[in-house]
Amino acid sequence: MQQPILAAAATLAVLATPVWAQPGGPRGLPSPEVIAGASSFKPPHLADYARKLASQPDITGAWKPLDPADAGPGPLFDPEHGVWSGKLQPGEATFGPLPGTYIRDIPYRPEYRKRYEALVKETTEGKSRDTFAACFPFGVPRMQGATPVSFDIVQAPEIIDWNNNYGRSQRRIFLDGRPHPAPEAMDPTYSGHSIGHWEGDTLVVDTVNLIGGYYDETPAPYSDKLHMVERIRLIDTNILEDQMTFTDPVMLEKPWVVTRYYQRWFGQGPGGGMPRDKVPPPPPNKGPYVQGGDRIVRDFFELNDRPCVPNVRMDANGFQVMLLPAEIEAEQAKAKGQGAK
Amino acid sequence: MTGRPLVALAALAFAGPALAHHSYAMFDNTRLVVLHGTVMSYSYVNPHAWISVSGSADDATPAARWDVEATSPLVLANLGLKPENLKAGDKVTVALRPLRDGRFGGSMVFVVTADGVAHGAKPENLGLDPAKLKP
Repeated sequence: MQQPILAAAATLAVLATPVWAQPGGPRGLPSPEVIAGASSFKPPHLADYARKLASQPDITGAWKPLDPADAGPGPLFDPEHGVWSGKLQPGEATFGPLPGTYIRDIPYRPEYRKRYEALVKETTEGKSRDTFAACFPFGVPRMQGATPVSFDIVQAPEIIDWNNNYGRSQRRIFLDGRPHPAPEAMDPTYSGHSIGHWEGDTLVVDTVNLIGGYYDETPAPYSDKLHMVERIRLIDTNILEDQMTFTDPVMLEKPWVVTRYYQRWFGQGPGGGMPRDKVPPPPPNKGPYVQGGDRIVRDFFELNDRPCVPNVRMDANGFQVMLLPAEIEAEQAKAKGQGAK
Repeated sequence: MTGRPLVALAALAFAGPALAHHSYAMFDNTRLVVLHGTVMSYSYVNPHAWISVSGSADDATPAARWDVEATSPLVLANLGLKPENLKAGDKVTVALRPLRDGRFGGSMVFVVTADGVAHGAKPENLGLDPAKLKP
């Protein structure tokens, strides 16, 4: 009977000696000698890190998707194959593709082609199932293919981080040679699990483990079995190409290939997807981009890194319901009244 | 809806993709409601600003509170609607695409401020006479 107690005591003893107590000072804090020597300490520099980075193409910075000049309102995942149901006046507020807008030629299996047609019909009737407005994040496909604002890329030797604050999505691409985790070892996420490697100057990224969702707002669905392979490369100093190949054994009958182009965003215009012929030319290449990137990332965060306060909720049938400010104010007044009682 | 929306059938010109926060599906872009009234509040917030107006549609209905969703602050500023351009108590004329469900709300098409300047879409492109829109 004593052994379990001893074992428990031993465990407690181990827990009571945290591994971060190494600086040798009292209570696990740095020792007085370390603190006294701080001003003369020479920290290691990032030379090795910089050497590893130096061989990568420079894709650091903010990027904005390019849409064809004849594209209609709202970002579509595959604008080259978009069918727009109408146009709005310049200056008129728009909040996405007009109802009835869709992508033709997605190689859906017949039952999911019907499903997509039914979803497009629903939005034509004024009912949308898109959950983004209710503060659900974009998944990685939508972040790449249907973001209305720019995203930014931060490069490191063995990891690349992509941030899309507007879509509340971040992706981390591991370049350290690790495999995907076993499917049973990981719950699916909006951003999935991405591993990548450089093939010459092309970044090849493989993504799995996604929560099923929509490519865009039309809304074109994908399943949680989606497998996404991207070939990402600079085709010009300020133009990035992402050739995406989607394999979805549940919904697609053959792989779907979509190529998107992005222009380096220097803060020109609203961060939205601008038609190709309307994008102002970027300033002359003064490189390195990290310097400009600091300003861009700062502006970007200021503009887009806001808390999500939904004025849209999903109803019991899974459709968006807008809350008007008058209704939100009435709700708040009611809650305040109840709090006072 | 108790309003009597004015239906404008206009040749709709090109509009580029804009910020998407929620689906446009809840608005009826085949209808245009023109409100004449007074600004109750102007919330210049991300991702979309809101203009609340006490007014009646086309002067034909009792005044009601209408909540009009505008685009993002950055785009609005480009249209000439900065925070200082609109305040509670200002007379305005607002054109909007109404909510399909009949509540008093919609998506902004243009706002005519007290000085008679239209911000947003051009009224004449929608078949409206700008001279009659001055609040």
